[in-house]
Amino acid sequence: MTTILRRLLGVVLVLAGLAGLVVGAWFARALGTDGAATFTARPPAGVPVVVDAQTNARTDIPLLITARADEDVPVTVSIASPTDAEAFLGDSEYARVTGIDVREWALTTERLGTDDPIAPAAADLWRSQVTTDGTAEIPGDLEAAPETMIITVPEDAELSELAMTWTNPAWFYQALALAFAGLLVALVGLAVALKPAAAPERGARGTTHTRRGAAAQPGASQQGAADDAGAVPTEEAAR
Amino acid sequence: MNRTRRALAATALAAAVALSGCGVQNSIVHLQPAPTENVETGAPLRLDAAERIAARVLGDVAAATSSEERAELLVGPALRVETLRAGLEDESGETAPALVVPSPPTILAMSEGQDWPRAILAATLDETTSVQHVHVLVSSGPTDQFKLYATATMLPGTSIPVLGEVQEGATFEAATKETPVAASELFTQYGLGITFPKPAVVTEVSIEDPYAESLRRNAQAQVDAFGDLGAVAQTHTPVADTIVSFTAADGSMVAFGQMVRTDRIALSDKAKELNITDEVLQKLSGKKVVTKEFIVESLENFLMVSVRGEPAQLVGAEEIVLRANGS
Repeated sequence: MTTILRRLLGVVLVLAGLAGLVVGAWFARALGTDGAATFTARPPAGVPVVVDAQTNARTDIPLLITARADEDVPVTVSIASPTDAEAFLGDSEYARVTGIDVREWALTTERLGTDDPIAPAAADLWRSQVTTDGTAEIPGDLEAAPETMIITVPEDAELSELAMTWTNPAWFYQALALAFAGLLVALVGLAVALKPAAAPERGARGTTHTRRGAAAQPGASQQGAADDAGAVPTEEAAR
Repeated sequence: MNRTRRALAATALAAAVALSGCGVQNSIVHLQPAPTENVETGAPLRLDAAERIAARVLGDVAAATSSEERAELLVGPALRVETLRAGLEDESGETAPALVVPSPPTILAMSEGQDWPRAILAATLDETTSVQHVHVLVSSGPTDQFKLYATATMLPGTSIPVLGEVQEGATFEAATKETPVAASELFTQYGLGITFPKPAVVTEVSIEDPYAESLRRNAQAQVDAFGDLGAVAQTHTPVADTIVSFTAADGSMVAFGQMVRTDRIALSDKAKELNITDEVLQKLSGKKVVTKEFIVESLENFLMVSVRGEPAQLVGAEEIVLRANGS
């Protein structure tokens, strides 16, 4: 029974170790030595894309938001306080980044509003507003948080990609550590699972002998008597 | 017993790992709640954003080549003045003085809080003439850009009190026809205090300023010129819904308002007639000679400041002829 438990524990350790190894290696490969976790999405065309404090200010890890379009397309990034952005967007249609999907390295979005999309040029409530051709990069600014970023392109153009990259070099080493720890645990588990059953020692044999001898004595159970029936003497079995 | 111990240890280990999973994940990504916004205090815009907006609006107004273009950028009192100027240009052929906008304008104050209307108080200096203008820009809603609400020309030797840190915001109040603000009374008092020939005694505002002195001097000169041929009277009435004010936390205030000045010359029986020599007044009134009375109404742009504990002082004044009639 002890051997079965030991092997079971070994198998569990092997599986847990392999899981750690795979997950760690997967993260290390995806993050790279810079420890850059990049999540991307292709935003829906024709509506502003909104990145609010629920995604751009949830961690103090440095963040870079990148919006890409064709080279000659002006990409405008308008930044406002959350209440201003909410008042400005009102019931107009827009796409909001809601979070991340780590398995897919993707940004999750939702589409809100029913009225026609609104152009940021129609307002004067921006903390900053920058337009660049092709690609716009917006560093996360936790000191100014909370802020809502509204990314727009002209009506006849669309964003090809929106990316949010959090960079922490420690993540790469943490992923490596996980992979190595997993490998170690798997090896230990393997050793535990494959370790041969220990051979009975002499002292143990003596005990068996004594017990069997006791079973053969008068007053022993019927089952014990039956077991002993036809059994070779203990000393011989040991030889 | 050993088996039980092992099972307990394994369960404890699994539970510890499972329970610490979230904590480990949070500590790795430094996950924290999204910061909350303080919407009650402070200016709604950063200083650089306000400077950019003021430069754009004033620059656009200065660059506008037609009255229609300017009208698109103006609202309230400024639009009223522009409409009057456009009419007078048609009458006299004179063009409105060009607005000189340094880049960036100096932001004196911003309205506080996140509500609308929002306002910016900005100053510009024409370096060639050393004349300083103070502008009020107003945005009425989240999707409305700032427009020029009012411009007042500063009187020589006057200054605007510091209204605290711009980023802290100042209380912005705009009067309506039905609901006056605290500054409305100051304009009413000032109008009564400079009424001619019987000014009221006022205590909340000072009437010792270059504009008031100029009015009194000119009116007295007319009285002297007419002698017993006629009577000169001058009154000032606030336009209730043009008055706006910025008030700092320490009570210092800058207020803008328009008033209508009415100059009335009533000829006595001894006077035969009064010749109207000014071409603009001739065109506005349609008369070159009157025999009973002549009334001229002018729109006055006033900028008033109040430092806590001291009477309010007029620091900016500008006037434009509104209408004229006679009989």
